[in-house]
Amino acid sequence: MAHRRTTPIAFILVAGAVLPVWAQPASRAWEAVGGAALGAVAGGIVGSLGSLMPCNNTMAGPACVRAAVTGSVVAGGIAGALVGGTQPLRLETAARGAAIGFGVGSVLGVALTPFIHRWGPGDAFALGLIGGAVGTAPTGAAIGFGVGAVAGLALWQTVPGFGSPNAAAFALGGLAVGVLAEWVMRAAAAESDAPLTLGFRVRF
Amino acid sequence: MSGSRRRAFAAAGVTLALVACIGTSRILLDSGAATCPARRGGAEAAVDWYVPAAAGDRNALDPWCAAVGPTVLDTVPESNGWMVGGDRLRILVWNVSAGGGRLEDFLRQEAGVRCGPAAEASPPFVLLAQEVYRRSEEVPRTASGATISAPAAERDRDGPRDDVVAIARRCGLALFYVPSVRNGTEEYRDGREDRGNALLANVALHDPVAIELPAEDARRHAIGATVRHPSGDSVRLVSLHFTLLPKLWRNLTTGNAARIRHALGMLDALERIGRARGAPGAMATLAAGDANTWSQGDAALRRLRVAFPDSPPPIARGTRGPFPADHLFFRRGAVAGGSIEPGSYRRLESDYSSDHHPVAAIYRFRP
Repeated sequence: MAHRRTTPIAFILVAGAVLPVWAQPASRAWEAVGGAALGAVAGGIVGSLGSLMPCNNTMAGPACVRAAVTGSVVAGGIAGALVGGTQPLRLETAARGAAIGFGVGSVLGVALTPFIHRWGPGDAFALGLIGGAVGTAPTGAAIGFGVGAVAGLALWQTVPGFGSPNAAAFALGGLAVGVLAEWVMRAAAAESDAPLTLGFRVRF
Repeated sequence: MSGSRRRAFAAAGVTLALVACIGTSRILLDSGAATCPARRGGAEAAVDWYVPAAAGDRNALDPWCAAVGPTVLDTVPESNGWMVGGDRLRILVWNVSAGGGRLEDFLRQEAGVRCGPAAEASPPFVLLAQEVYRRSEEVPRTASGATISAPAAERDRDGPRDDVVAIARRCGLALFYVPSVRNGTEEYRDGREDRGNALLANVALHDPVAIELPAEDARRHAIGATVRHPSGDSVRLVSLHFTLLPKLWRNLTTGNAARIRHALGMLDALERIGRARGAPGAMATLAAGDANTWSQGDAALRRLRVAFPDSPPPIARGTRGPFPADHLFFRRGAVAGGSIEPGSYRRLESDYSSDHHPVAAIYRFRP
């Protein structure tokens, strides 16, 4: 099926996200790798969460979600590598936020078990992952979710036929954009603080 | 390449692999090797079963199937609706919400069915039903390894709960009932129940097929049968029921592909059914039911409208609260077949105590 053919393409795109690792000084390679991984995973999760509902309203459906996830993984991976390679303390903060978010999400997921039929450990883990992704960029997530929710509610109340699912889609989309925006802004700030990372030394 | 870089590629690769795989939606004619009790012996022998091709899907679905009773197939009604005459077949589509919906009231009001000894012939109709329930000793006792679904949410109301098999037999209707899941545990209302899709009609049902849809959450079906007009013209009618929302983990890792897989699985099976009978696309086909969609733009609906190009325009009003959950799709046969009467497709005003409004249309056979 077509979606099977997208997998190698996606891997090539991910390679693009990891390339900035090579740009970092050797002493910071580990931090750059960690940053790329954290940014890519966080980007992938919020990319999926934010695109599920909008993409579900297109003919492409899951293919549209995969495209959004691929873009988010690439953006998050590049930003994470740049942050990790130049500003390890910022990466530490993001990693700590991810750990806290994962913990909060997982505990909430476990707590929901008695109330949702057939809600299992996989779902609690998934909620933990979402919490972790949000935890890497909590400010951006909060602002994005807030702006998206207000805009969605306003459109729901004023535009006939807009509907509550679209309002929810706006809120989740805002959250995803907020998380990615915070990663990109961190990377931009890292770039300005450490001009050494501007030179790419791609080695194969 | 250093070890650290390999790890980075591996981490990114795992993430992508998770989101890149949504699984196949191919459907195969059941080989007969299934262990599922609902697909063995009795009436099931007269039914062509189509099941997901992927072993993973079948493994996920069999524990659900182990908890339900046998299929029910009564192909000939006591009173044939074609005796009334005409070339119009009333199509009714409804998610009954198990014992919540007032099924007998519905049949009386919308199809003119009179049950009991004074039954009279009513104009020809077929009800494509979802979430109807059956209470029976034939529903197996809870066994280890079987998956028990929570009972369907039912609105509190006065009067008895309407068991689909009991109603069909009391009213002398043809019935094709395929249970999908158990309706609660044995302690639920002091009896064993299952629920699933059904076709009820006062015309004969031919060539029954049951399509088990790919595993997403609970087991779901699309079931079909052919109705023949005395003139010789035929239409295949399919009652479908797609999933509402898969589990969070699955939703995140498949890109919300659940309803699309159900739609593609059903289309694949319908294509195979046509090929198996030597004439793919020859017969007019009408598929309708609860697609559990939140918007008219849902990707699964878009695909179905392409596959059923003669479908009537969607109903603007919601059928489950504000949500457009229930739909009707149609394609003319390549060789023969009638059409949906223009303007006849509509939502019925009463929900008959279900959480879904029924929809209705008139199918006009080729004279």
